[in-house]
Amino acid sequence: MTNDATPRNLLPAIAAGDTVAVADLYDRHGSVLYALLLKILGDRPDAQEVLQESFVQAWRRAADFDPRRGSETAWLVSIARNRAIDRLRSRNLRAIREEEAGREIPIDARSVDTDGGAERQAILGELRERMQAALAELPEPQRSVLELAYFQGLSQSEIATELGEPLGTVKTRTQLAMKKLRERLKDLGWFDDARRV
Amino acid sequence: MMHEEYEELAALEAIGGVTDEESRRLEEHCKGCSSCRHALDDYREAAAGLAIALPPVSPRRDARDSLLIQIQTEAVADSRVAEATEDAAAMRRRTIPSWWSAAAAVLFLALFGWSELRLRALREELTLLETEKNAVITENMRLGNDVQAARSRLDTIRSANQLFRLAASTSSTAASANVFMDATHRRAVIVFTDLEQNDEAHSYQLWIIRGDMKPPMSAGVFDVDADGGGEVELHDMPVDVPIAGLAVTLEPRGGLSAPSGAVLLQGKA
Ligand SMILES: [Zn+2]
Repeated sequence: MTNDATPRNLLPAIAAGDTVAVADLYDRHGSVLYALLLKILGDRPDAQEVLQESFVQAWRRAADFDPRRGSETAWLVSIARNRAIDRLRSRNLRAIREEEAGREIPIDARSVDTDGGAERQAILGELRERMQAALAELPEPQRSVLELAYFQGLSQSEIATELGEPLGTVKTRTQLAMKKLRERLKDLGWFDDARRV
Repeated sequence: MMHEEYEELAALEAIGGVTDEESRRLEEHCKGCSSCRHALDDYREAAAGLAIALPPVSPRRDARDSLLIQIQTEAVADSRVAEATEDAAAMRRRTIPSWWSAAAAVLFLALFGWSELRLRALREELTLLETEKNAVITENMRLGNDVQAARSRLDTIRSANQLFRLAASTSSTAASANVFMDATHRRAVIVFTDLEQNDEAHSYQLWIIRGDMKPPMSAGVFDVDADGGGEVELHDMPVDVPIAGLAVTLEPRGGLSAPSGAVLLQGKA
């Protein structure tokens, strides 16, 4: 269904009532969102369910999307992440997470959806590489506070407890990590390109 | 608080590291401060990058269908609720077309998947939609004639074996159409959305783009209502004409034997 005439952002069309465009949205972003949900939830049926909920929410709230404030991808990622963290918190999660920590998620679907258009996939692949490079430049303790906050939904004080360090130290480290990341990504032209996919 | 402190808060907010109260204060400040808002937007974009950095994983193939069916079903329910609150006069104009677009879209999506399993899901959807349709009929007895036409279209859509879309030729309009072609019975239903309403002096005209390089052939004229919706049902399509696609132009009322207006919509069969 995707062709040259497909607009860069699909959410405005969806907000205007084009439910068929949700199919295109799913083809474009499904695999990024699903990877994130698997990472957060560590469980396929849950990830699949939250994926569906996220797209339904995106469909219902499409009119809230403001392209001046960020990319369509970031908007969707934020919906999916929030839902997943809510799901995580509502589980009696701590025990499960510890049990599953470090468990690799087997990937049975090797092929990535390419329906988003070859050019878009190429840009996305490039963004991925640049993001990975920017993350790799962070010292390990900084990277790890980001991951605890983002993928496990831990608050700054929970991270402090987890690491046995003062709250102030954790906050400073997180802010520093985000600041470096922002600067590095800016150097790499990441923000402009992120809005192109 | 100083701008610098808000920026620090923004860095934490982007990865969910602030309280609700802090988040509210930050949003409030950002309403009037473009530099902090810009920082917050960047941080959120960067945080989403943590997801983009993961190797992508394709979700289950059938998950897409189930999502689309859920959305179409909810859309139908939404439109039914919205319509129930409209006054009776408006009902005649709106109920059938929007019900049709939604039903057509469900069928379009479901048929797209093709597999037997999906067809079964489609049949269940159909049953559901027919139940809905019956409710509409009971509610609106005066729609008799429209419903008759709708039934015939449903037949065509149900036996459609070729589905494609007509898209706008320029990006200035969101108009589009779904085409359900039943090649076996040489008939088709075309459901238009977001076309501009035509005036008294003009008709929209549908053209068959021929695969044999001969000039396009008229497939009839139609009107578009104030909602931008319209439907055309084609019967007895020519057997000897290879159909490469369809196109739509705006012509003097009643149509012409050859297109004179610009192509507004087109798509390949
Ligand atoms: Zn400020």
